Amino acid sequence: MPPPAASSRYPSPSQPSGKSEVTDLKSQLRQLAGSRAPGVDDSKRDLFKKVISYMTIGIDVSSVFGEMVMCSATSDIVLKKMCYLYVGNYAKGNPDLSLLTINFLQRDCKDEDPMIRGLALRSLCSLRVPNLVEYLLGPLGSGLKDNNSYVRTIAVTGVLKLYHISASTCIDAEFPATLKSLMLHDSDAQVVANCLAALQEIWSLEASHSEEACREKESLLSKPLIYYFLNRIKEFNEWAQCLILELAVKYVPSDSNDIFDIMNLLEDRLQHANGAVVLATVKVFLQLTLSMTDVHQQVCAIVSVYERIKSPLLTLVSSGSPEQSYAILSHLHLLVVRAPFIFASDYKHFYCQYNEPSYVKKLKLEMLTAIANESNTYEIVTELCEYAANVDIEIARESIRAVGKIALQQYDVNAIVDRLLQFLEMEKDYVTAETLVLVKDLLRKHPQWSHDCISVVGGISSKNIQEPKAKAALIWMLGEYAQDMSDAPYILENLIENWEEEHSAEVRLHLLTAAMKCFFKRAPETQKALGIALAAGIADFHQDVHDRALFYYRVLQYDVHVAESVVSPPQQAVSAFADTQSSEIKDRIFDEFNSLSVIYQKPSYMFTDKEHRGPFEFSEELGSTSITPEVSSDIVPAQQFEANDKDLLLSTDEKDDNKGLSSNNCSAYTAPYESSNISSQMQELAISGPAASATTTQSSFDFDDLLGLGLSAAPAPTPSPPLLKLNPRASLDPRAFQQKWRQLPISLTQEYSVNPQGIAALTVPQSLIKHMQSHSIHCIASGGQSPNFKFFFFAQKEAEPSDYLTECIINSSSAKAQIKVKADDQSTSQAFATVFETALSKFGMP
Amino acid sequence: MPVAASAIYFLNLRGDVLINRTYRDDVGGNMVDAFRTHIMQTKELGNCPVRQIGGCSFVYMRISNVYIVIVVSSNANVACGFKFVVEAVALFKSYFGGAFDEDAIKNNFVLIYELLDEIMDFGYPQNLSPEILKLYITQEGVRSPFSSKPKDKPVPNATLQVTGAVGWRREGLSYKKNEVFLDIVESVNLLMSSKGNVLRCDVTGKVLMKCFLSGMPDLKLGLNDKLGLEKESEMKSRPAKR
Repeated sequence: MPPPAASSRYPSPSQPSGKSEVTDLKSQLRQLAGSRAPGVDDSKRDLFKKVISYMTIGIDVSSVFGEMVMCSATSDIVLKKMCYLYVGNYAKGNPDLSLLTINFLQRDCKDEDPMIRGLALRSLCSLRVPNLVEYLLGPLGSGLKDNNSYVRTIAVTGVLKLYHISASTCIDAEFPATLKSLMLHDSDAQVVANCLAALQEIWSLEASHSEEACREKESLLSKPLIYYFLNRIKEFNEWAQCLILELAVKYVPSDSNDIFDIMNLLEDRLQHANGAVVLATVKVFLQLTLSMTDVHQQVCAIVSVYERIKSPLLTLVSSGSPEQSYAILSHLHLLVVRAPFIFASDYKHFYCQYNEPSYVKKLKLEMLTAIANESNTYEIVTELCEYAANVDIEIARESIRAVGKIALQQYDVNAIVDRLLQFLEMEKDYVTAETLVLVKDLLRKHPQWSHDCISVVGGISSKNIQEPKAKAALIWMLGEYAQDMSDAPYILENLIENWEEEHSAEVRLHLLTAAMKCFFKRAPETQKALGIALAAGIADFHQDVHDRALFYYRVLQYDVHVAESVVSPPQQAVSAFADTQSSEIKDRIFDEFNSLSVIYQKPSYMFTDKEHRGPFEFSEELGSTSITPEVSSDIVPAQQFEANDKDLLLSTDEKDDNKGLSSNNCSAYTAPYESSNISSQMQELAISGPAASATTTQSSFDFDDLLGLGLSAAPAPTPSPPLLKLNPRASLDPRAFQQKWRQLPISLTQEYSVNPQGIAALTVPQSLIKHMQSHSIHCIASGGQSPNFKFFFFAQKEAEPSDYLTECIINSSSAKAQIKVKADDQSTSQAFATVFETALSKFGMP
Repeated sequence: MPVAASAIYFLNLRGDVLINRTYRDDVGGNMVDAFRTHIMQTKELGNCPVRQIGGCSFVYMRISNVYIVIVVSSNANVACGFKFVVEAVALFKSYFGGAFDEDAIKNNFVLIYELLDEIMDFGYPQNLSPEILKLYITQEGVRSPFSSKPKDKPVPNATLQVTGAVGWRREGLSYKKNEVFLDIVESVNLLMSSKGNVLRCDVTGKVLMKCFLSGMPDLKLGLNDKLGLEKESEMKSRPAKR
């Protein structure tokens, strides 16, 4: 128990400043210390209470340590408890002083009152001062043999605490073996449960470097032991039951009789009032059915298990606090997504209630979406439409999205389209915005509905739509269905005239494309608008907009028909939108049922491993917390840095092999983007172009004039930064890198997008490293698993020994690379970043 | 492991730490600052009650004007965490005389420390049943001055019962007449639109029980329901919590 860092709290002006009070307390305590007058205990109690209150509100009372210890020579258990509390809080900060307490704690461990023995032992183990470990062994040993179960319970946890302070001392004293025999023979359930918890933790930590521990860990899962626990499960309290059930999950049953035996044993656990017990039981059931060998039997069993666990879970959802039902719902959500048909008739359970917090509502909406099928769609959509008028805007949006998703997964969308179009008539900004996006998606999948939709969409004034996504959707429809909407070119023209006021690059990109599409369908009306759009696009400061405008311009210059085939090919209905999560990841989450993974909807390695979290997330957090008057200590982030760096500076080769494997079986690169399709088509075209170009040059000049685009609109080359020469044979040893990385500030952070070829090439181990090396940028460490890869690079200036250190995180699913540059010479870090970007952009290109 | 909680924090609405207990050393004390900036200051109502910041996950609940935050560093069992908080609050309430708020906490620092030490050890939940803890917690809740039980005299055998699984019932009870009184209280809630459509209706029921039974009998209660709720309605009242 570290001192409750006084600095981390806000000292409020009304609080006593502390100094004078503490000296006051000190003298009073000193007076009382020697006194044996009757009633002295009562005044001591009051004083102690005061000391502890001060300690809690953040006043440093460690200066009265000596006096407290002096006063603790008492038989009054109330005083003793408070004294232990005080000692526990300040011992870690004052190892010297805590030596003083060892004596009386050890003496108390032999007290005749079991409660005092237990408390003293707990306090002794909670001191967490490494050099006092030797004093722990004796009391712990006798505590484990104590005839009182309360003391034994505490001693068992004490062993675990000792293990965390000093693993070797704990192992050498053969405490694990003692715990094991206690676990098997003790009559008290809590002692057994604590033994189990302690042993699981100790052995799984030891298992990495000791074969014996590995074997012991396995032996916890042996059949007799599992049955020993499961048969006695009712003797344990609810928390211990969770522990045992968690153990049973890992047990591999020998045959189907075994499976059914366990299920029968645990059947009544599903009725337990504690949601955690029920979930743990559900997990056991699910795992057991997965381990069945007979496929037919398995399918039957899974269905019957789902049927059986359904009602207890649904009951739990509707009872208890919203937070609890959120935890249960998250798990239910996982099950619903896996087996929607089983829950199809229970859709009413997932209707939102007005007083539920929005995180619960969101989950429920997702589940309603998942279980919608022919039989219940009508009811569900009716209910969802009610939510669209919800006062909580976020929920209203979500429910509209839910309606849209249902429409996308159903064959009979007739009724839903009507509903969606009714939303547009509600004339609420956010409803219209969400609906437009949905209508766009719907049209991409079911182009046959275009006539109904377009007539309504055409009536919407583009001025009322502010959200970029919605605006983009509207513009897309204007472009795509220009022939059906009489005033499409004029709406577009209006929008294009306000080019300057359009802040979202996404909208500008869509404007360009829509203008092109419209031009191909209704050239005379759009010609002027397209000209303005291309000119504005080429002058745009946003790289993508600029590039796309330039590309359109050139492809028009080259041949209008080719341009049409590129920009506005015949429509193809999208059969299915890309799933965001691979099935492998879903399975992993399922394996980690009843844990945080389910809540976060990602497997545990993504949020517990440092590599995946991104190394400096922690420090950034702290950076942003610095608004608080005092950030208590920077020691922790520094340690974190170190830990991360050590992790990363393992040899590169080793990690790359793993990485190669893992990225192969993960479908990381799916691009459900329209824009990326276009860009790949662009590239194809650009390559096949030159052969025919000679014939059409003439016509393209005419075309220029037609568009009213002076040649002056051609792009001015961007001023190239001063070229930076890098030393191809630079060297830096990892230790020096580490040191520098810690010392230097981040001079530059940038994000690039990586081209698809580059992402594809990432799957080959070492490829990026070799590629960068050819550009004189050397890799010092790398790691990560798909979709997140991380590299540490360094480079050196050609002439002088000035280093650039770079951390590069590449996310292969979003095709983004984020780099952080630290440099000896800060002024050139921009130049270096440019070199880096150029090198990266060539990655994967033949 | 179900919940190896690293620490538990009690914060007021401004984000000041009222009281905290660190069970393990694997989270930094300044994580609570991250909680303050990222969760409390975002002002979004209906925020998800489980959040990850840095390497830690925060499982939190708001009860009246207090945030109770459990910090875990591993892939913990969330349902267990919430249940623990709920039970702990019930326990505190039974000490504070029904109210659980900022003032009650400020008046009962020592008691809360004592309780936190007993209900969780090194991150593992131990025993949370108020009946048992009352037998050997030395402090009294400030809010309940009338329940003047003789304090600091631990009831004999208290520690024997501390670890028992049947937390809500003392051992060695005996009554002359073995009787059970049962009350079933049901209420029907109905929400109707102005047109007369039933928008929502539900029934909530409680089974209240006054029990004078000797020893530790297993008691099974069956509810016969002609509507055909069948098996679900067969509920075991007392042992249901076992």
